[in-house]
Amino acid sequence: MDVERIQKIFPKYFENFQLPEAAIEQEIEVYRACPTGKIEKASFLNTYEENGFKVPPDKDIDDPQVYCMSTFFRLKDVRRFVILESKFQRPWLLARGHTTKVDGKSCKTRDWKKQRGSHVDWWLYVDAKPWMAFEETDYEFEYEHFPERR
Amino acid sequence: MSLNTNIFLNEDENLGPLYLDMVFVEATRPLFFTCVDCNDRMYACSCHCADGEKCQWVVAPTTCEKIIDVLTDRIPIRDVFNSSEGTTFLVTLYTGSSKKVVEQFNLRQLPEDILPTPGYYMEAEDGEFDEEIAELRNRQENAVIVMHNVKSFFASCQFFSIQVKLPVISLTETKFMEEDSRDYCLPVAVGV
Repeated sequence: MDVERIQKIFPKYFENFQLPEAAIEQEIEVYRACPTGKIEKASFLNTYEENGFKVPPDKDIDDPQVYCMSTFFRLKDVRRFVILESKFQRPWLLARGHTTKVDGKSCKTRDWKKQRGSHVDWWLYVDAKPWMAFEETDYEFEYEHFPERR
Repeated sequence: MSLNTNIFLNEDENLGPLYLDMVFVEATRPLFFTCVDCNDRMYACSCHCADGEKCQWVVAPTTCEKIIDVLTDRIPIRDVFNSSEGTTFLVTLYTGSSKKVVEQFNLRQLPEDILPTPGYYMEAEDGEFDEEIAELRNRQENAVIVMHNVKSFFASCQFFSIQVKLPVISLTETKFMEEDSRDYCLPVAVGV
């Protein structure tokens, strides 16, 4: 299914919660840490699918963040995330890209709840291909060439 | 005693209760943060895992000084846990359960990958943690130093500024009229 024909519908389990009002179709420059080490579909799943269609025990079923894909707009925050998360071991793959209008709705988490950091929630449509908007990059390269994104 | 009501861990035979204190890194949940207990002792906490089966945190006793060191990039993040003086705890919440399980470990017993990746610093931006560092330094300055020796227990102390609410009694009506809040500056001696 090509980009023009992606239907703007969310998965059926999105009935479990209400999208924040701040979530809109927009482009935000973000970073994604790829758990498979590759830029591929399996590294760009929303958290619910990544967790085997289960809700983590510290979350409620109607928490919007159970169903988003996590990205960050600041380089240091994606790095800190990888340092702390045990599933990411060296070497880990850093991808730079942007949220897209055709693949879902997104917003900065701080736009709808009190939070520090640069986490961006991206709620993906069925058959979305968010990885198509990303490319592999390197932390040191990003740090040196894009200081405004640190 | 902490007035923080944002509880992270209910009382367990090994640990707690613990109350959420400062959050330094978060995504969809706090990832690196501190908690305090009822005696305002501080603990460094790292959520290394959160999936459909469980959420798990590494919790280690720490100090204001250590947290300041990590926020000012004097030490790597992992060293907050490496250098803890006391036992390290694994706190786990399993899917289907409402109660967190606490296990006690020697730090060397823990798998390497559940601790923060070694050698990495916070790399804080200028001013990013100024508020937290100021608060931590304030706590350091107001800490009571308790010492004891073999022959006797004693405590050195500093002057505390405290607010005391006192009932005001009317002499004519012999009943409590109101609460009166006053600021006192008292030397406080603590016996151990």
